[in-house]
Amino acid sequence: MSASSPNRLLRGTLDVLLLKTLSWGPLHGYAVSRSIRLTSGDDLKVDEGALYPALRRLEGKGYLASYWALTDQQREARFYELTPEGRRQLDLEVTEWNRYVAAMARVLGADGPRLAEES
Amino acid sequence: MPRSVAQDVDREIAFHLEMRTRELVASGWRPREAESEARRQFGDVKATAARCRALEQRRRTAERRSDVFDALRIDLRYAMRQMVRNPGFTASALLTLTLGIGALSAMVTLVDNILLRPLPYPEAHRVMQVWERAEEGHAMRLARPNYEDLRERWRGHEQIALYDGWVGSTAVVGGARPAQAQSVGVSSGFFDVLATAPLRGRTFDGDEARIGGRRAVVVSERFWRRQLGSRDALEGLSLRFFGDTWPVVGVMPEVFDFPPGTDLWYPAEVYEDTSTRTSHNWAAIARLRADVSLERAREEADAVFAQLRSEVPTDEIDAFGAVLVPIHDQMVGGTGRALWFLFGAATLVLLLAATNLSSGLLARAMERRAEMSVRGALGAGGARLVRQLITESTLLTVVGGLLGAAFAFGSLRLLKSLAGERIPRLEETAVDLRVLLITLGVALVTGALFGLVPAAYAARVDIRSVLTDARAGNRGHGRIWNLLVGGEVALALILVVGALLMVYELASLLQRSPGFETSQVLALTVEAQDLSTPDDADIDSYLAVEPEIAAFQARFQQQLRSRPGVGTTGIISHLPLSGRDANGRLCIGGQPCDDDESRQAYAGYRLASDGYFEALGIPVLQGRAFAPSDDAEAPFVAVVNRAFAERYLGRREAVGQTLLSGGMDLHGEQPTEIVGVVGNVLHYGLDQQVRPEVFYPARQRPLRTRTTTHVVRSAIAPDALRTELEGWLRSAYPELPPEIVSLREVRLESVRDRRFSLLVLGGMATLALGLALTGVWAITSYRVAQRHHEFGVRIALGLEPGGVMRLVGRDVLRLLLVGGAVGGALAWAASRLLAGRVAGLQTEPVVFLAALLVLLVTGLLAAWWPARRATTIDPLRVLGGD
Repeated sequence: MSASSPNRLLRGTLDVLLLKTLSWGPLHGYAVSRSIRLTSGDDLKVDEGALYPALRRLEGKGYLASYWALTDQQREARFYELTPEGRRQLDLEVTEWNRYVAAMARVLGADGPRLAEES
Repeated sequence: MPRSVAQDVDREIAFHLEMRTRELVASGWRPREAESEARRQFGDVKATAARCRALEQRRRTAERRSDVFDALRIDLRYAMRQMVRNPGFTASALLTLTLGIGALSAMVTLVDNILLRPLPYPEAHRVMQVWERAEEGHAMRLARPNYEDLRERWRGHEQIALYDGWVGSTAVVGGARPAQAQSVGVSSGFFDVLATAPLRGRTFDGDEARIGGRRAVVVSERFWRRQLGSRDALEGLSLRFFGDTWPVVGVMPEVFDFPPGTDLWYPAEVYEDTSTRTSHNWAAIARLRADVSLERAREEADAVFAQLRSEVPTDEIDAFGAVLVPIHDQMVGGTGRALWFLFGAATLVLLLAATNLSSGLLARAMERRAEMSVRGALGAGGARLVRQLITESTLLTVVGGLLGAAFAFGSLRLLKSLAGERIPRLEETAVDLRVLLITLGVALVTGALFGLVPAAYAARVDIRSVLTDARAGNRGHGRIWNLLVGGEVALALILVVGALLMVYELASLLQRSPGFETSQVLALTVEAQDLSTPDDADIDSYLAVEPEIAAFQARFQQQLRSRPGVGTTGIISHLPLSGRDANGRLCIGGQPCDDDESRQAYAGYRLASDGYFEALGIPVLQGRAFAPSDDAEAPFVAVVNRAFAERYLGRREAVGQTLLSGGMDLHGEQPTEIVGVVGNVLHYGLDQQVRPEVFYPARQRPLRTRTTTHVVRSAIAPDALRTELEGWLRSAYPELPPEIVSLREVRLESVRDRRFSLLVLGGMATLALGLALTGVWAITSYRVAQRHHEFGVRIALGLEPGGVMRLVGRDVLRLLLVGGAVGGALAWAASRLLAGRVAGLQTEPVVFLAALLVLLVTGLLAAWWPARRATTIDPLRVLGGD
């Protein structure tokens, strides 16, 4: 894999993505993968299988809870939902992410090195 | 529904692949290709599944663990609520556990510390106490010349040392304040036998351990701490005693306590000892060679004595062999037997406690059958209920165990302050971590076991039968309980009998007249001051000091007599019942006895002044007591006690006979006339036999009155006189410890060991009785509750309160009588068995009756309160309620 590959998911962002996806309501794993695929287009490409260990890891941390239930098509599927703790974690990570992005944007959008007398 | 981890993961992944395939087909893929495309997009299915399984497994395990803790927390909270909700049961169970576990762990600590733990000397098992063996087989102290020969010739030992056979206390000046301290002369090698190095400084060198050598003293850590302020530098520190100045050269560590209670060790070699092979004044310890067995060492020591007997004229040696006793056995001695006895008693107490607890828990299990069935019916699993019950009893026992440990701490502290130095090694005793852990372990096991009994009950409960008839099935259980409480009563009676036997024995000892009056007499021990120092190598110089000693003690007597409130006074070298003693061989008739055994006698050696016999009220049976004129210039005289006259003089008239005092002092060759016979006193203890004694005038042979006891008959209240005399001593003789005792105290002190045992056993008997009474109380309460309905009906039919009481009382009485009879029979058998072995133990019928009476009265009192409750049953409510 090359470092410049545009479609590799940025490290550590999968978790926040999953939490965000589940913040609208309980979903089963396939629905989560579909939702990510549809909302991010081809910009964020990930092995769909990588989703499942990530979901279980989040469940182990107490951010998600899971249960088996029937889908609209009367199929049995494992649903995941955000716990209150997961919601807090999401808020935290979103704030963190925004700050990071803003900082990066400032740095990358700057015209040149700042002059000493300006500060 | 939880399913297996693998299933769970597989189904989830299969669902994904299926859904994705469908979606692809819907967007125009061919089914075959759609499925492989779905798999491709998914990635490595197998690896993902494995990873998911691992994560899921870990999560479930963690969850289960936190579930167990949650359940435990809930159980504990529930158990605590149960404890608080039943304060009566909780309090009695906790008390029972506290006393039972506490008493046992205190005794375990004592037994462990005193009997089991080795002495704090390296390879202490090789250290022996060495005695001489008399012809009759008993052990005697060592004679100096025999010791010298043993040291030279005995092959079994590595190191042997001598020390004073008569441990004495002396007045010491130079510390924080004048005090009496136990001082012991020890030969070179003494510290090597015990293989202990000093904490500070050194032990004696060759310049000190020789006749007339440089003075030097080694002090105990205790003395160093209390009297010398734990000073690090010993230079310049010196003490004054025996009329000499002794530089302090060393401090022994705290664990070094031999002979027990010693504060000052000085070189025994300093004073020349010219005593004969029949003067038994020394004790000895030896370290056996590592490669020599005790048996072998004994044989070789015996061989040395056999050899000596063949070399020395027979009248000059009276030892027939050696007695070797491991030093631990020697120190612990009789205390060991008493301690094992008390340990047995403590075990009985724990047994009682356990019985009480299990019967209490049984009763509660019965009461809670309904509760348990309801909870069972509501869906709590059997295992859950059992766990709950075990949690409850474990909580109970852990709390009880902790309280018991505290109780053990407290009671040991109390025992220490009461028994102090009289019990060997008690001072070093402390509750240690091991005992605490054992106690806690016992508590936990007990808790689990006692929880199991009611748990088993609960698990067996047939829910329907309990719900329909809560009172059924109690009969069999009642009988078990009856047995348990009856057993408790029996055990308690055994201990009460034991304690009362000891009380009876002590009381009869204290009733025994010691042969002298104790009520109005005070005693103070005084060391002669400002003497010129004799040259130790020269006997004549000792003789030269004698008049100085005599003059000092006579002057002291005179000053004493002039104090207000003082009646008759006198001097005695060895006060009866004080533990002080000297004895030796002497010869009846004016000529040396040589081989003539018929004229040889063995008697206590005493120096007394005129006034001594009068002050103590000892009757003069024949002839006269001493007079002030019996001094160094007058003819040598002696007074004997009645036991001496009867044993050695037989039908002959005692007064007028002549004797030679032998090696006891410097005048052994002087023909001495017996001028009087006095009454016997119990010199060696209230429980001891009278032995022959000979008294010589203190003025005539003053050497051994350098430190002596002055007795004072008080003309006023003894306590007032004591205060007055102590004040006078402090101002007139600031270098003397102002310690005055009354003979009443001396007499009580002489039975202190017995009082100590009595106290401990009495405490245990009280505990046992208390536990048995708790049992009686509990069973009566239970019975009353059980017969609630019946009593209600009877009251309704006109039964008076007295009748109800009688009904309840009859049951209790039967229980007490049967238990008491069994316990009494057991105690009787035990005392008959022990009577031959434990000195002074008698089977006293009156004691058994008294114990039974105590049991009946207290037992009925314990039943009184629950019986009272029975009389207040309201028949209307009983009849209406059912």
